[in-house]
Amino acid sequence: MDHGTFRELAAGAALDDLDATERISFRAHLGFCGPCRDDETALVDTAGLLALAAPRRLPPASLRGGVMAAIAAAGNRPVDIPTAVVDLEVIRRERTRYRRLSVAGLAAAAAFAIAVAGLGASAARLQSDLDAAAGARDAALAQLATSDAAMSVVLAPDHATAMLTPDPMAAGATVYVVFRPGTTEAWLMAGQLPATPAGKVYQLWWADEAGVHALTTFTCDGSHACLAPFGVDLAAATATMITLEPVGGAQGEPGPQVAFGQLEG
Amino acid sequence: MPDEPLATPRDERRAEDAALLLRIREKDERAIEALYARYSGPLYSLAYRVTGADRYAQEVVQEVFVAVWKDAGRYDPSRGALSSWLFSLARHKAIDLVRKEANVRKHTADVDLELREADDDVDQEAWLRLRRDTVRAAITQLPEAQRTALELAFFAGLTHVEVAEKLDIPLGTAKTRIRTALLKLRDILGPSVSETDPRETLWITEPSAS
Repeated sequence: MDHGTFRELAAGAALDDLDATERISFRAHLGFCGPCRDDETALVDTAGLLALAAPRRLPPASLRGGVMAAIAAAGNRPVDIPTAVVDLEVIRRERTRYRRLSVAGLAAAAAFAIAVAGLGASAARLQSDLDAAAGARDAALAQLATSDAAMSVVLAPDHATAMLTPDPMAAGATVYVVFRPGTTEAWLMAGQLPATPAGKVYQLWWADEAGVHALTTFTCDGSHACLAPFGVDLAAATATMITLEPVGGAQGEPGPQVAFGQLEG
Repeated sequence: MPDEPLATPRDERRAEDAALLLRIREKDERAIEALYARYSGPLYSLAYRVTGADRYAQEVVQEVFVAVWKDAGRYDPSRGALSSWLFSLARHKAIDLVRKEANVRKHTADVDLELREADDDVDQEAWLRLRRDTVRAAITQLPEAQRTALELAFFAGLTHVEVAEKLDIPLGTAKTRIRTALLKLRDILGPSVSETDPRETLWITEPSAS
């Protein structure tokens, strides 16, 4: 797409009416195009003002109590977000001198620790059934090998990290990409990602200036954090995305978006 | 375009937004109550406009505030004003409800930009009325075709494809009309658009009994 095409997408973006390919391409383009960023911001605010044109209606008095009760029921901590990550958010507020990527790296490490704990528990349970379930054992060992590979990236001094924003279907999920620029060591780390629905898989995507590229598919059981390898060098990537696809992966256009995040590019 | 009703510097307003959201992230219930006082009226109005049903509008408003309470960090100031984010959340949730509950609103695609007022006498905020009048005046300056397409896309929640089908026009034409309408509104409303102040949507009148 050329710049003019992206400018035409700005209004659709403001009304959230882009298809998945347009959305990821547009978000990726915003990463390096100031005028389009300004356009989008102005159009988003224009759409916001348009809401004021709705005929005025007063909410019933009972609504306030209902809202506050729902908020009280939600608790004093964000639900579905690992405590370790929440604590890191406090660090981010209080220590603003931290660079964004450094904090995200710490948060990814925290999320990753949760992943390892989950996988470790899974492997321990499987150990007792090794004789009867050699296949399961191998799968668990493969998961642990996967966690080792991902951990090596987290611990590498040259790693970079970015956070993905979950869509409503994955509300509460914590999703990070950790990678070593210049290598194909790149992992998705996700906590609280909903269990993959039957007949579906999650699929990774990445975007650069050349376009949007489909990558591997993976599943999550919903109870543990999950990891998935990108298998490509994300140094030039401008964005990454998770979508929900039929088993076998997308056949053309990406399916519903699960999470999205911009990278430095 | 009328004079700006508020003279608060943009940075100060943004700082107020940031402070409020920071308090919400720290789970200060007074902050979420303050946010409710500011936005519940306009959010309810928008949700009612989209869903056409009181109980669904209430559900939308509740979901918006609970979502903000759970994860205020999702607001990205670089992508627009706080009010824009809240309205966007409400609109999306309302559209989702309409689509899930097809019978909620049988007049989904009715075009009604004449903006009938159900309760003209309750809004005592002159500046809010001024801003509303400004937005509505801007809308009336749009050509009918663009106005209709934008209305269908924004308030009826139709996709560009559905707008094209509804109006029996090519998809490209529908996209162009919607985009052009939004751009014209942006130009008419001017740079103040990107500096939407939360107090512009302050809702301080006493709510009605249900």
